[in-house]
Amino acid sequence: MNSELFTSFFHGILSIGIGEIAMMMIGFTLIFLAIKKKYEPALLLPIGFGTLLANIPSSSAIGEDGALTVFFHAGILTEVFPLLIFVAVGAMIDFSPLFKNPSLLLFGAAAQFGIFMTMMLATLFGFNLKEAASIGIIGAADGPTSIYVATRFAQNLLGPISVAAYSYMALVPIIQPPVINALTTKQERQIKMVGHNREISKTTLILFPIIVTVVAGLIAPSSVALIGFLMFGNLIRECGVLSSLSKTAQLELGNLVTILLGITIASTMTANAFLKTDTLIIIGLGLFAFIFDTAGGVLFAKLLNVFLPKHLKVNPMIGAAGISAFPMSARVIHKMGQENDPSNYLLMYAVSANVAGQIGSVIAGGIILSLIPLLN
Amino acid sequence: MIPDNFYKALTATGVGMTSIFIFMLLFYLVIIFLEKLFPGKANIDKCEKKTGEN
Repeated sequence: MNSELFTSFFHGILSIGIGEIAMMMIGFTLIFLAIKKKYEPALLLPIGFGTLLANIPSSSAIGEDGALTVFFHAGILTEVFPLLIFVAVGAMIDFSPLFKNPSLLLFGAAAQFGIFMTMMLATLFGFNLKEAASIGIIGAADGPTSIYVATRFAQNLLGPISVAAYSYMALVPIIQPPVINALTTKQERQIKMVGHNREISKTTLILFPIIVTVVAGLIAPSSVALIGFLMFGNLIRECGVLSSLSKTAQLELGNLVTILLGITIASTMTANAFLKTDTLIIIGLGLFAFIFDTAGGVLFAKLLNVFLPKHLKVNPMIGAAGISAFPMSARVIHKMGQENDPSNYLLMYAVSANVAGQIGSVIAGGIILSLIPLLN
Repeated sequence: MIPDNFYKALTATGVGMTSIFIFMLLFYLVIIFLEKLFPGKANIDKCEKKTGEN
């Protein structure tokens, strides 16, 4: 009787396995990286702590009635959390730097190259097309888009994809410079760009999100939710009559959903689901995606320079800022520009390309959602 | 042996990248169009000043 009571009471400690211990170590590592290294703390800390909650044996946080599982069904499977994050992100984006240099929009397309390269590579590792597309979208460098696509196409891979996406976004300052240096000469990195510093009218800023939503929605209806919620957030920001809602979307809504999103994703990070060879492959492919995004942007800029007259040449480093990791990527490019020539101020152009990358990543997500079911 | 999915992914790459570029070109045109229709205030001010000076 005493032994039965002992076993039942200490069920948690007695039933812990190596897998659970390993997952808890991963949880501790994510918390450490978030606090000590400040790697995307808003997401990695909730994911890390959620990993602890999900891997304590017989945890009441997961399972049929567990709070994390309930949140997962209500917020992730229904796609509500990522879409609400898009409203918050949209309210934070200022498109005016892009309007001053609209041609830099093209870099927001070129730097999505890593998504597709990674998707192809993932198929060689035996992933099916939908799983490969979900892994490839890590290259969007956009956490909510990665989560949104993975929820639709590969819920079984949601945990590793989210961790990879957010980890590599935090590592942009480490990943991008060596790739850029390998693909450019010092002379190219010193190119000074000619830009326009004109004022953008309020009407333009208001009409842009509306027109983009309608145009993108009519061409790719699957992208309506993704682009629509992003642009809705931006419209709240730019309309000028909803400053209170805009602030709420940027701060309270963004923060609340970020907390819930992170900790809820962790409910998928149980030992059985996470400790697989596939997870390591996904983490590796995520790095590949970021490298090829950077390379795609830089090489596209170099290609453009072949055709552009000398006074209009683009600094190829700007191409690397075409990813969605805002504003990290822009800062990295500006810093590299300063290191190569202290009188070269690339920040404005890098921010423009970076904003283009934010649009490009969402468009890429929408296109993947439309295209893959047709090919599968 | 290369899996069938690889060729599908290759097709997706071609179609996908082309589509993203087309979207971005469309948005570029939208911006240019909006800028022409609703030019920023500073542009007008500068033009007026220049005209005055001349």
